Amino acid sequence: MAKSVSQDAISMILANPSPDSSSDLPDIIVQVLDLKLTGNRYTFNASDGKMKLRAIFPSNMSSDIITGSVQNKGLVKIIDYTLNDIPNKSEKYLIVTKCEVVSSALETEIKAEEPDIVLKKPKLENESNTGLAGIVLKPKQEMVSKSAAQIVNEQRENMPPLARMAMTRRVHPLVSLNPYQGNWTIKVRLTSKGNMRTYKNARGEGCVFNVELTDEDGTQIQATMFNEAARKFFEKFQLGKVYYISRGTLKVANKQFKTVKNDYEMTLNDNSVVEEASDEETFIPEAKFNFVPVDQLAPYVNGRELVDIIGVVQSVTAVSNIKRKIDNENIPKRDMIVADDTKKTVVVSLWNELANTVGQELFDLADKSPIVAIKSLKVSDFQGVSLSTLGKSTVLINPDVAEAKKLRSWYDSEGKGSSMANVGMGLTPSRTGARSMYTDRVSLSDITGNPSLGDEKPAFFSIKAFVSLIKAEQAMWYRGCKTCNKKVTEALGSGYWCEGCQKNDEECNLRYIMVSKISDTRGEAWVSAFNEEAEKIVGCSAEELDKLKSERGDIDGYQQKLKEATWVPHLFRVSVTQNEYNNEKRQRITVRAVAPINFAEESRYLLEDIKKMTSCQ
Amino acid sequence: MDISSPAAFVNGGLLRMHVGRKVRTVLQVIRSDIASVMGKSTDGFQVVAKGSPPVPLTSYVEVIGVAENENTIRAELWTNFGDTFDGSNYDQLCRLANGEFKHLFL
Repeated sequence: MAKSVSQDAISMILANPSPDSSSDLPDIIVQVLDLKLTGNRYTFNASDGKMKLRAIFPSNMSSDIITGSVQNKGLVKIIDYTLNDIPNKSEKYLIVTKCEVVSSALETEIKAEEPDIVLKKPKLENESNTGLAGIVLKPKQEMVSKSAAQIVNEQRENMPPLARMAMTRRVHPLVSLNPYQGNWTIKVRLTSKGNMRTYKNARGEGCVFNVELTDEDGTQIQATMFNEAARKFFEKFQLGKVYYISRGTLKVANKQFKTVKNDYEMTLNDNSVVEEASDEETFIPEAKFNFVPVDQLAPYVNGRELVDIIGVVQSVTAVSNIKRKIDNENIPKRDMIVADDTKKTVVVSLWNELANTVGQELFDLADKSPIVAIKSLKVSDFQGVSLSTLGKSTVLINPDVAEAKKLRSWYDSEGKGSSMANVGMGLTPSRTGARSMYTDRVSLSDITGNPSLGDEKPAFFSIKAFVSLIKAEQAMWYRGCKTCNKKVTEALGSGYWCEGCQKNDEECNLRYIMVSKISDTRGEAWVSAFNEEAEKIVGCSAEELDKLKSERGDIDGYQQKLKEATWVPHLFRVSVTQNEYNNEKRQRITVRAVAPINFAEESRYLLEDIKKMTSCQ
Repeated sequence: MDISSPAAFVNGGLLRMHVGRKVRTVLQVIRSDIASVMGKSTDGFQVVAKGSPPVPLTSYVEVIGVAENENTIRAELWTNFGDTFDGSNYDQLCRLANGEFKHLFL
């Protein structure tokens, strides 16, 4: 039996999209045509001579193809397969799961019936002729010399119109384009369309937009259009449609602004030709997301890599207009706070069209806490970490992806009620608050043991220490001006005179200027504290303490107050400077902030310290 | 109560190492009645503290007593620890006190 394809093999496959192994299907032998590598697997057209079916080999067969066991135009027996639908097309797609090589490459593509018979006819005539008359002298055939172009043209004329079009446009794969060959036509799908941007530079004004084109092999290239061309093609180019493009120019891509993997980028100008391929259906590629959890955004800050995120919208602001410094253009912007199940939130800024279109939608939906998935966001360091959309960003509301469902159930069960911190917190140096009490944490012996600290400019540290002594007999406060806090002098007559404000005031403020001793596990030191900080240490204002001091009674309220302030632990933020005193350099420590101990936080700090100490041993 | 030996700091998982001996632990109260308290240890295990809990009982309570088995303590001393407590810090303390720093505690 001559090795050939099984009759009507394709129809049989189409009739049985998912056979089980026990089904008694006769052998399915097909011819492998147009075998090529797509991505990391080999695709082909399976032919039974009558019909063709797009098909794909399993990846474990790739090595057989590379070694040549499976060849283009060869025959394979399909043992196990599944038939899938191609989305948005009426075509089917054959996924071969198991097959056997039947034959290596045949000479031609197998075609059932007609052409063979047609070819046979003239032969028969000749044979019959010779049979009858013996030697037949064939009449001299008129040989008309035709140029190759003429012959090709005549052949073309006999073909159906669509095929003719495809023939005149010899479609080049994107991967073959280069700047040195200008005569090409490509057939590509528009997989991304940017916004029309206007610009102003030294040469004048203009408008520009770019698109991403993808061909059948999966190769991508970016194409840019300026001014006339931009205006001409902006409406024509629609996302998801397929176009024949020719007469564009290629140049090496600017790596800084590259968004697709291609060494080249294309520019289309006024002479370029763009024609919609009417035989192809529009297929908007499903946006492939690669979500980064919010708490892992920090490493991307100020990098070139764009990120995708998915999260629950907690709040959306109204649209604001930001003036762009470069050209004074007003750009609409809208901010929203997005949270995910890492229990962190991040601010996402929607710019331009997105602020108005999808931004408005989100604004209206905000109290329903919708899920939002965004592709291609830029990560900046504003407020630690923040995200911004670009022209190519895509925003999907309540998308039908697995992550969205997961987030929805997380949010409805626990996320809604939990308090979440902004992912940027703690990434920017915060000036005030207990948080800074852990930066530059040292012990007192580190400060007193290093006399050169603060010799050029003040050095700042955090300390945890106890107030160990407040001398009762010190000038604990001064009289300060109510306006500028500077020391006032008693005026002639009544009231007080402020040199700085150049005026008299009946009243003045008592302001602390207190010296006290603090101690921690390693050492002790004298520190100065001014009004606000001393108030926190003593526990009352200077005025109140003065009142206590002047009271007469059994209990010395003043001493009592100071006693109560002693051996109380605090977190201090101190500055260390050097003063010259009698030709001697003296260290001066000033309290800049006082905070109560947060025991949980402090315990965590100590546990960390223990870990560091034990791991160093 | 026998105070001759110090009570070992334990969490749920470490309780089994001290069965029959004096232990102390902080539990998050799940359920309480006259004779016992069902609590969650700082490492997530369910532990029963038998005895008479204080009234009123706060969310976190420290119990000191003898470990009857790997999930029950016959509590003799109860102390209300309030409604906010950092369990993870306490849990770390228990691990250190039973691990490399055991010699400092027992």
